[in-house]
Amino acid sequence: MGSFDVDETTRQYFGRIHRAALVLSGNPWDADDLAQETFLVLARQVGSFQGRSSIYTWLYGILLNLDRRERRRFAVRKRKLRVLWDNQPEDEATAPGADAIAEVSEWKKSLWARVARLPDGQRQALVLRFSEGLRYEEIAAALACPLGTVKSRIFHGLGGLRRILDEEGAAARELPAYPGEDLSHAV
Amino acid sequence: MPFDPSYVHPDEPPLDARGDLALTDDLATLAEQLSDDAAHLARCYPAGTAGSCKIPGRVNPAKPLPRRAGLAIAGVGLSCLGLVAASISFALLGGESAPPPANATNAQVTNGDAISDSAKVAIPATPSPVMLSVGELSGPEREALFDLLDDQPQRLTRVSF
Repeated sequence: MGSFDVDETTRQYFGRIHRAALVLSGNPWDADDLAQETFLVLARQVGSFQGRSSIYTWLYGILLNLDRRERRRFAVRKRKLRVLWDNQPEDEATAPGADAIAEVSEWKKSLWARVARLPDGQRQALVLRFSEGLRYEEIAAALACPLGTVKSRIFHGLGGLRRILDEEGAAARELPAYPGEDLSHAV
Repeated sequence: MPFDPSYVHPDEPPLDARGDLALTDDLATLAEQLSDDAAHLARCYPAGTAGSCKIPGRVNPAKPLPRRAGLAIAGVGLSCLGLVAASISFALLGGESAPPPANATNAQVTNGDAISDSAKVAIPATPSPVMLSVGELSGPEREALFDLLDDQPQRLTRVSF
């Protein structure tokens, strides 16, 4: 079993974990919560660290588990709110719902907002590889999956990202330059 | 179907000789862009500073003024307000307490050309405006008026044609 100082580990790795949490969540408030909760789990489970992987790989594993849990909670909450929303009269259901995610514009403009639409496995592999710069072996340890799966997820994640961008580009090309313009003459 | 070792599943990623992913140019560009975007986000929202972008030069409309700047602005505002109030009160009080100007045109002539002391006291504090039509005046009266205006230019407030 490995032993380490929790305070020193927090000081050393909080920035890295926060950055990954920011890329995953899309806003600094949730990123703060996720990062702090990661280190709370570390402090609680410090005795269970086996030392088979590096400490930051373990921390990334905790963070990704928390992120998955938050996404599940959010999906359940969204379904419940959707039921209430659909039961509202039509004229009252115009404002953004209470389930709308608060995301900062910098994140929305980045490629990470598109990565968020990929399946969980691909999304997390891309975050660990291209945001955190982990090696394939480290990603495999953090995600607890084989090395080949990591490479496959990264490859197909990038392919999925390219398809999303292609679809966005095609949708943008189909939009008229001026929404009210009559384009019937332009054949 | 018999096992064929040469069969490669189409979903398997292409690998180079070292076992790394062999990415096409467009995917490599995407990967590079992802790294750049993550670095930009981390610079923009460093740990412990949630709420607004911290990149220098970016306008943050929601950023509150520092406490000192707020106090200074409030002080300047209060000073301006005090000056305005003081000037208004000075104008009101000064207008009432100012001595009435000695004015020959408003003096009451009691006996011929002689002006009595009581007539001087009776000069009203705020003289009423005198409307004169230059065309109705005779030549000597007009000369007298011009002399009067030369002597007391402050009494001429408006000339209409």
